[in-house]
Amino acid sequence: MAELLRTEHLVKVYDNMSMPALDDITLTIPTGRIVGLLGPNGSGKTTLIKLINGLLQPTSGSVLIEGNRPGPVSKAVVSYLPDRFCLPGDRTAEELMQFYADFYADFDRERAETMLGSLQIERTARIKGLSKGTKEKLQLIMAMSRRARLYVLDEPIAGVDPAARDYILKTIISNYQPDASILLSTHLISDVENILDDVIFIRNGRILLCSSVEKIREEQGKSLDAYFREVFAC
Amino acid sequence: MLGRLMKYEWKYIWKKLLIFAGVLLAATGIGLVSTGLIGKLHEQDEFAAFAIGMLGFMFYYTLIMGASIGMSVIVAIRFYKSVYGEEGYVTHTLPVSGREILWSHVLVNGFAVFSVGLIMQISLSLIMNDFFRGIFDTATLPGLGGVGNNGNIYAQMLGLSGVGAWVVIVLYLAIGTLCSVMMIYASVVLGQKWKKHKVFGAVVSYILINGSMVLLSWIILIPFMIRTIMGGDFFADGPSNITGGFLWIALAIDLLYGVIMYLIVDHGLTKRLNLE
Repeated sequence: MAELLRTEHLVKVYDNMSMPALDDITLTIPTGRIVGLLGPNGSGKTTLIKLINGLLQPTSGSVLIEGNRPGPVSKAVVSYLPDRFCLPGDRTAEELMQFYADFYADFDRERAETMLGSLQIERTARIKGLSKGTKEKLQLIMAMSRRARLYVLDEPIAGVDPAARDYILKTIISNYQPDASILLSTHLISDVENILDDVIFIRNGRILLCSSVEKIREEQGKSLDAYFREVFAC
Repeated sequence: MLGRLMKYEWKYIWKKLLIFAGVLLAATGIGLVSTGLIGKLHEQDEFAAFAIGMLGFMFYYTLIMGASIGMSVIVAIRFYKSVYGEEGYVTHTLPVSGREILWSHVLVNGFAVFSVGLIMQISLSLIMNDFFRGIFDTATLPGLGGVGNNGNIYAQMLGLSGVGAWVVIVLYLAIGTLCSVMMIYASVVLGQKWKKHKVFGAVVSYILINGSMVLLSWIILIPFMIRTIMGGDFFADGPSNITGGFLWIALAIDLLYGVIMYLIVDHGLTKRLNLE
């Protein structure tokens, strides 16, 4: 399996904090894997994701995506779903599809239209007029409609109802190519457990564990959710 | 990709620009009527018409100043929201460089500020001649060197032909707009240093940058002014003696600040971007 993402001794210290948000993170994500980035609140998951997307600058260390530092080249192959809603509210879904098609060569408009139809999202309505759940679904549709090499999804199912969660997870699995990978952060481990190939446990900015889900189940004799609760018990 | 970014910036700004142009046109109409009324003081000694005209002129001036400030505020908000607000997550994950993002804003929104400035200057040139004539007896008042009596007011103030004056004004406006837009963007970038009050930080940064520019202008211009006034009969020569010199010095200061501000914004967007 070819290497898609590599971080080396990655450190991030925010200006207003004495403790590093990320401390010496070295990890590799190969192609064709769905990787869960799991940890409690404030463990550094979103910071790591933002560094991968070039939204934060590392204090030290490096991030490489297919050998490139975060920049125009890496952003052309990474599809990012942030943990917050950030699409411009004055546009319609139709205009948004055009916007994505203009900037991303890998944007699959047909796929986006199919998903919009399945979730009954009106194409001509202004985004700001949509419900919170619909906005989140729309944002996920845009991210998953790209034929990207790496999908970085920050809490993709946190704000949607359980029925929509199943659809979203199905969407994630069915829409990524075998040569692509997904890095997915979530608290809702039981919901995603069945789709994950590997997991990264992170706490206080440090990696606690990097392993395949299968190996955890074999060695620990319990589900990933149960093991997570055990490791991160308060 | 710069062209595509510019396309979306234009989509955002064009309707606003149209509204501001409409406001300026309406203001010009009010200004023309007002200066006509002001002129009646000399022609027919009608003080009531003069008073109404002055009120109308003040309204005109408030409108054009408001349009200019309003467009700058819109440009500042747009930059803040699309670069550092929630939309920044979309903007900065597009396959474009920070420099392309900056230039798309500078070129498109700078054009909007420039257009408002140009309409404003055309409006002022149409109205100020009549205004001066209405207020003063400019033919005999030596301090104004006959401003308002003949041709374009800018041509007289700059000591150039009508076309030459407009070329200089457009050049000055273009460089001034670039500098002013860069100052706004640099203030937004520097405002990010404030952890909890980023908008307040941007406003404080803008005041400080603008204040330093005014101070520098004074330091450079005061000796120039003294030399000019001491060295010749300024009042007899007309205003171009001093306004022309002022213009070139102000232009050089604008250019200097524009370059410094560009370096600050470029550094902020390419090396120091931290969307927390």
